[in-house]
Amino acid sequence: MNESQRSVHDPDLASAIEDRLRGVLGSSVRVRGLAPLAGGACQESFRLDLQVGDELQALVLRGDAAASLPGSIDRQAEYAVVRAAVAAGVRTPAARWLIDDVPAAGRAAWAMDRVQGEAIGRRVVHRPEYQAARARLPVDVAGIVAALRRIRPADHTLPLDRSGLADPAAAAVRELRTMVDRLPASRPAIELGLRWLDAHRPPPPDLTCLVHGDLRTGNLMVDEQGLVALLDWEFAHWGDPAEDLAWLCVRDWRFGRLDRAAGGWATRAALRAAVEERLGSPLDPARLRWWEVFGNLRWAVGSLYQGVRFLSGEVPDIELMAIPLRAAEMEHEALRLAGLPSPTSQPEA
Amino acid sequence: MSDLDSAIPSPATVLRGLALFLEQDLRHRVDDKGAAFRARIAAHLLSVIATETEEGGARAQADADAWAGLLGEATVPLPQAPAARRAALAARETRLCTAIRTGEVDAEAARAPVLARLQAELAVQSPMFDPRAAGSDDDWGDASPATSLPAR
Repeated sequence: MNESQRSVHDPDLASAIEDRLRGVLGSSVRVRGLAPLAGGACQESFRLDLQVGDELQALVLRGDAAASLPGSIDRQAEYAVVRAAVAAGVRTPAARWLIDDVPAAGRAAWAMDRVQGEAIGRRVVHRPEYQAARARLPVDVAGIVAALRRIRPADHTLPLDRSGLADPAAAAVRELRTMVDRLPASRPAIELGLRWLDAHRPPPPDLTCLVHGDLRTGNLMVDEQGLVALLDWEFAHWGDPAEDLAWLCVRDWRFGRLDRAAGGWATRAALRAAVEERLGSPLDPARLRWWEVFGNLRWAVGSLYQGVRFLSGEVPDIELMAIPLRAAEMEHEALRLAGLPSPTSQPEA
Repeated sequence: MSDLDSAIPSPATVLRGLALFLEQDLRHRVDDKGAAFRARIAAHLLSVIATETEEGGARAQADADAWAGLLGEATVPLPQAPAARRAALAARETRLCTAIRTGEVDAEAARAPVLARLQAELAVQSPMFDPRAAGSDDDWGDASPATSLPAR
């Protein structure tokens, strides 16, 4: 790490971090570098270089933002989730500690090990140096899925809502409807999609477990050897593991590789085969199809939400203004998938 | 792109001109990658609005007529003024959404007209979007024999 990177952009924030950390790590704590990273709607991230005694730690600090998105968890919950994920063997940066009143009073922040790699979707999908990594991703993702399945609600007291556990699909549709009702207006395709989801709900799964909730290209950091880490746990929740596999295949994040439904790097068949091989048991294609329809509709609604954030004056970013204009794309994909003949004749829910 | 019935560029022409300016001129003179990316988005949005400006209220009227058909309402010309036209279409669309949710409008019957209107919207808002299945888009496959057993 060179000296030019060790700059502290906000000395007050650095002092607050040191102050809070003395309670956790002892007196010999100094912030050597602090710089903002591109944030999201629910969190503010910082590159943090911390000296603890003689050790220099390269970290990322994630703090609560002023606002939050529906369905997202706060940093305190996220910290607990990540610790459970790491303990179960999910490849994700280790969570070090959680502190209060940072980046502001009443908010919380936690730090993770900083890892090197590429997460920008377009690069992961297209750059030639990641060819081998792309080929490995079905196997790497299968490993994540297998590890997540080990995190069961019966064994954990994670601060996550448990009300939907008995029927995750029904809970998901209910939450989606609630989100739709918070928009200025619904759209006919969304209403049709919701009706289809209700009519074709799969029965509750044999297994409910931790669901990452945003498992997609864009949150998968790779290097030339393969997957480095899964990122961004702010949408984690208890649910049906099929939800994560299907979200990977939502049309909007294939970054131009539309023929590779799984993240722009594999076909659905290849992903399914890798996961089944890893789990040693078959997946249910009708269930995966249902969650894929759900995923496209969820993103359609999410994209309309981004427009609301722009219109409210909350965020003056024309990218947010542009996203809802493409809601029709996600709606179309949801209805197209819903209209395909079902994979086998399964009994309806 | 020429409309030589006047020496004064039409609104659509102005918008397309602005799009070209952002896409081909300003975007390449901006050091900040984020700003350059947003310039591309801005150019795209201007093109979309140019198309909307040219087609006037035809698409909105076609939407309103399609929704009227599903609701069993009479087709009525929408107001000319853009804001009033938007509001009138929105009111009819809201009635349709409610009717789909309550079941008053049959979801199966509504599917084809809604898809058709989505495709008309996509032609304007997302001209690069291919509404067919993408390339050699595959499926999740068939159920394995083990999952043909009744659910637990």
